Amino acid sequence: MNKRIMEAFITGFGWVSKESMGHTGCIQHFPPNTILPGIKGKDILDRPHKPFGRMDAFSKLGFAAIAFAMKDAGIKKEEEKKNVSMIVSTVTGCLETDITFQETISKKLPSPAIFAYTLASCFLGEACIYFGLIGESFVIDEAKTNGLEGLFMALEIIESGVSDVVLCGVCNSDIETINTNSHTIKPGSLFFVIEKKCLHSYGTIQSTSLENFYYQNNVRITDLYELAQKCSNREIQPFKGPSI
Amino acid sequence: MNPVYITKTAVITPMGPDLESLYTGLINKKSGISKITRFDTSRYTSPFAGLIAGLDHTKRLSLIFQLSDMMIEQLGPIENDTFLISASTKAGIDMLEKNNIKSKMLSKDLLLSSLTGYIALKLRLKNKGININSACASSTIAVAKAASLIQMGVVDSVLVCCMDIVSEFVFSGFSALGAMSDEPARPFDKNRKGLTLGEGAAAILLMNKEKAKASDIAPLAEITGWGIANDATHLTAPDKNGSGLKLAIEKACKKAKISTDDIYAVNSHGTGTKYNDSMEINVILSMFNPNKVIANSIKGSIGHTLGAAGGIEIALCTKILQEKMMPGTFGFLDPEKGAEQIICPDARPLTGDYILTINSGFGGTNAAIILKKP
Repeated sequence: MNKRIMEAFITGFGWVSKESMGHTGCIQHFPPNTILPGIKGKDILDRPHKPFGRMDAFSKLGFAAIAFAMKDAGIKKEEEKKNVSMIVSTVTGCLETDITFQETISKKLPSPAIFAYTLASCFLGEACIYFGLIGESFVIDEAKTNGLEGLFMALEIIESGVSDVVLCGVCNSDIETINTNSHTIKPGSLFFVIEKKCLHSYGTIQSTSLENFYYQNNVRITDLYELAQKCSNREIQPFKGPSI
Repeated sequence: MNPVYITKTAVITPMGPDLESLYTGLINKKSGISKITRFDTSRYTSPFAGLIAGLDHTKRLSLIFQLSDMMIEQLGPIENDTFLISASTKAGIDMLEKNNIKSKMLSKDLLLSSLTGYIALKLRLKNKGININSACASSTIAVAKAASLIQMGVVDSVLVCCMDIVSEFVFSGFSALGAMSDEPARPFDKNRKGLTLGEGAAAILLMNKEKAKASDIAPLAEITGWGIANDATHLTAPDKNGSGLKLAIEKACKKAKISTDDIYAVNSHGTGTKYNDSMEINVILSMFNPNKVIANSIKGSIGHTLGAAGGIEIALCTKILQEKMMPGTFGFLDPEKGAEQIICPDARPLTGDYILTINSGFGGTNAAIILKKP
């Protein structure tokens, strides 16, 4: 069977890490420390958004990277709903929140407010509500920690015509108490906006299979953080038409 | 476009250890819901759940892996080049109860990817697979993504394994949210009080035409359409107008190249909660011909199996297409307004070639799958 080449343009990306958060146009650096930053609504949104304060730390982490990536891609919050899809890959999921909820059960007072965030997909729902996104949204729980299966699914969504714009990324809590055997989890979040067509982009991302991903046709990518690095080293390019 | 076929299923539900026991039980209006003895329910809204016989919570192994073993045994051998997608919302969350949460090193079985890895290892698959999690639409979305990967020619076959267990963790959460009924759930009934939790597993093997032919397997059903959409309105409640579900159904019909007029049967999500069931009645009445379409919910019989629900219902739909008989809705006694036009209390003959199955969940997620007898 002939394998298709799937391709899309990277039009924005945003992140939260222990060292910094933001997007290429606006980066907030942190002094050297060992924990992820506490994120406040005003750090990421132009207007107050009460539900942000209610979210668990995992959701804030993911929501913030989505907001930064949307801003970087120039996609604004509007009244009209948009056919944009979202996929996040994660190893830890919301395990930290699970542990917090388990403690409330142990104290015989299970908290409904915490329980609502014991699904890793909840922050995708929050982002859908805030930005009015009505495409596909789901979590991929992966063992490999590279986020590439999510990127593949994002390309598949564009290729199959389901959505022309997809947010895809990774989000992981800083959990040191979980034994993941050989894999090192990079705490933080990173989201890309990839689009079928655009006026300006950081370049293209291609895939021919679940194992093979290429930036700008020929630079092999082995995880999403590497892709962000490549995009960071490249100035935003005017659209010159599809390369395949 | 490559057609996508379901060629094999394995199902374990509170009704019994296979698809036959589920289907027969539903046709004969039986219930698999019972009182929980696995943990103390005196602090919670309900003592009821749909539980699977043979799962032993006193063992060190998570119930999810015990359930996986049952499912794998029923499924039999699978070709090792089959791509694996599991679907679960909380997988081995019971390990959090078994672990000391103050411990410095928690079990990796708590990670959802551990379930996928466990199944891949047991079936000796070449790939480790992925788990898809999107609340109660997880397995419907997993099957939709599997179908899309096959149709696009990325893979020839995908095994979708869907499962969730009844744990005190999830049970206490739904109780705290006030979403659980103190009696077994009564989907679409005017006096419904909420959902009843259940546990279950379904494995669904999907193949393209060439793979099915080469494997000498007669397809059970064709997946002709699928659609996924978000309400973008509320985190824990559906949009009253069902905007996301309508969009998911429209996408599925467009993919299947049919209209809603071609669909005469709907396996609904039908959780038994006020908001979900009202939303679904609105959607079905507004999109389908109430003189032609019949709909049901199986959650009054087996409970809401969360991430497994869609998978179990898709497997059931293959049986409904074969037997041409649609099960009724257990607990549906006094119809909610509008439900009397579409919801069948008892088994009814299936007319038409297609069946639609739908699921919705927290985060505003919705998914729809259309099946056809091959």
